[in-house]
Amino acid sequence: MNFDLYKKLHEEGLISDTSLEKVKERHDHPLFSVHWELKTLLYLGVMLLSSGLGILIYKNIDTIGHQVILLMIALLSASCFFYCFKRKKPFDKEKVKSPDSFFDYILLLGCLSFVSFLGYLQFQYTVFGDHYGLATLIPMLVLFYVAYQFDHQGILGLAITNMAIYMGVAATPKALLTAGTYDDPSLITVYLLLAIILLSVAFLSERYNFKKHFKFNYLHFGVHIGFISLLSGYFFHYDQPSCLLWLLGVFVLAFLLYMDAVKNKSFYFLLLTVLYSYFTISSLVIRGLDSMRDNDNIIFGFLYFTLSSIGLVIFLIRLNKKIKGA
Amino acid sequence: MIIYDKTNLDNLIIQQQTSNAVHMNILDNDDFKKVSAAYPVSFYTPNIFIRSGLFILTCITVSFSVGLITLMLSNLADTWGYILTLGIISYAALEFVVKTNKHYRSGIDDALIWISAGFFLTAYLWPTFSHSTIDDTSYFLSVAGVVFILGLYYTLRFSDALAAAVCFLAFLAFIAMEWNRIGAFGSATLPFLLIVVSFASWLFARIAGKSAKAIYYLSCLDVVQIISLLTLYLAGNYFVVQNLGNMLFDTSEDGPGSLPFAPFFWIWSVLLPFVYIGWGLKKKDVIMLRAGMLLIAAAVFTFKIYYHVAPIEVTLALGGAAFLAISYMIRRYLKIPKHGFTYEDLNENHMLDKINVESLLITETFSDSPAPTENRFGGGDFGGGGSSSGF
Repeated sequence: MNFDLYKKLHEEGLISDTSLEKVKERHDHPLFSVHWELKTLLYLGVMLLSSGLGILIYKNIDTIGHQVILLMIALLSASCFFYCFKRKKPFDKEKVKSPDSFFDYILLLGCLSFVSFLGYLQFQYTVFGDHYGLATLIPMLVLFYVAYQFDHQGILGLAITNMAIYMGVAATPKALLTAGTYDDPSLITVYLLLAIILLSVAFLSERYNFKKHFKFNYLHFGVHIGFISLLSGYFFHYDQPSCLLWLLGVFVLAFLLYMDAVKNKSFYFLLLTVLYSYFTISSLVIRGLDSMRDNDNIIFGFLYFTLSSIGLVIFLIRLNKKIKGA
Repeated sequence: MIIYDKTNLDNLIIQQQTSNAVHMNILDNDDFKKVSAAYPVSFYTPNIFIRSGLFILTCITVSFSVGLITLMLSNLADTWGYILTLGIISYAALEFVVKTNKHYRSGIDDALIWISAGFFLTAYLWPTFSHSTIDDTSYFLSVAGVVFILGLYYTLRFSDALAAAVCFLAFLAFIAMEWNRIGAFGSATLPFLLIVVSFASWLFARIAGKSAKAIYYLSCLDVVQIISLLTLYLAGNYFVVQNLGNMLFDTSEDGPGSLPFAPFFWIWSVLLPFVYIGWGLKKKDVIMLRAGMLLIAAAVFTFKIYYHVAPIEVTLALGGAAFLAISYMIRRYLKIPKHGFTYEDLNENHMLDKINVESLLITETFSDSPAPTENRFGGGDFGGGGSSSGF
């Protein structure tokens, strides 16, 4: 800390006496935070332990040791939850700050081992029989319950992806893009339904002020899944007139998201809207150029991208200033 | 040398320091408002989202406009002079946006730095593509030299941390190749040379970072410190040294004791990360501490390659449990801040734009953890109930 700077600022009358006192106090007794180091250790610990146990079960299926492992996982999960229930703060519909990051990660470990426990039960003993829906519904409900009860956004994300699994699809944007499920019309509909549910929950969380900060997680998944499913629908029905309907969906979603992002000054969602809409408009332009007979369309294509991206740069800079100034 | 207006940079530093102090709750917002009114900054620096958007769009603009020009001048496009001209044009655009429009880390300048540097490098490489007479080592040496000079120029002019990283790596590559060229003695002593050079660079970056002259280059010097600490470790890591030796001498050694000075390299591989951590804690040096934590993973991997102690899943589970135990102990120990350490987050306002990055990371990495599979006889697909087909 550069104490001379603060002294100078104080002499110029820019910072108050009490502030200078605080700065001096901090300067004389500097504190070094290992917060992020501790978090990284916790994250790695939970990740290594849960994946180690996962492989351990998988390798020991049908051997004598599996009951021991099952018991171990159940105990681990139970003790994690026991610890967390003992230390938890009372439920509130506003944001509840967790006791500390150790608590957060123990809770995460409890959830992960619980999900593995259920998975193992189903795999080995088929406790849910052939009701596969039930086998994914229960973890989903538990995860949602834990996320709301303990106010944990990471577990909320897991619950959301579990909801997608319950509906039979994958939800993380990465999985969405790599799974290559764009060319199955029934899957596209499921994705669209999922997106609508997530977006509505995001809207309702804010509207009724119930865990308002969870809106981000719902919106994040809802927006990506929504845009990708609508665009997949558009490309799947490319040669049919119904493709216009999907296209309309893209623009409606983009418009709603734009209004919401401007209102909440959220640059992340603003950027997503701009990029997804640019992609859509560009694919429309390419479609138009493609239908032209003559060979100049390549030149026009290059010209379009050059000019439109410059235009968008100017648009983004203006928008940034507008939102900041608002 | 630096392109940015110095008063602006000074004011920016003052604003950054005071806003940090606000986040640490030792200044209040009124103080910050007064300070930023007295020390205004006229740079255009948008937040990370707008910055990445502008970066992507600038890349699109440049690639399509270059494509358009190339289409029109297709008979000229095959010469290095053409590429050089493109480089000069994009560099001029870069200087223009920085000088007239006052862009400072806006995404546009970031993109143009890399685009123009890429053109310059390509213009250098262009004529040599067709020449096969040039012998390999001196060719690579000259490429490393050009990258180093370009990197140094961009670092000094724009104080760009990534350019500093590229510049430093090119410097190391140049020295290593030059030393290796002197013959068998050079190849045999290469690890020691790299250790010495890395250490010297770290020392230089650390000392230079404290001088008042380097005030505008602190992030560049930090990057040099990080990379030199990593290369310092890697240069003496047993696995790296052995593979480098196999490459240089055309051997295929893979035993845990076959290297000359094997004990030295083993001690280096295993102990150095702990030395980093110890030193980092003692000096309260974040860079050193984090480098040490990262390199513990490297030490474990190096050990696992040569010695098989337990199956991988047991190692993972035990390692995970150990990490949790260590963090529990640290938390217990630091319940009340001791020796100037605390586990509380001092700078609480890093949550950008209400985005909880941690929650996204958790979702991305854990969402395909073992989940109930829908088919009991489906074979080995136990983990990853994720992307399976509908019910």
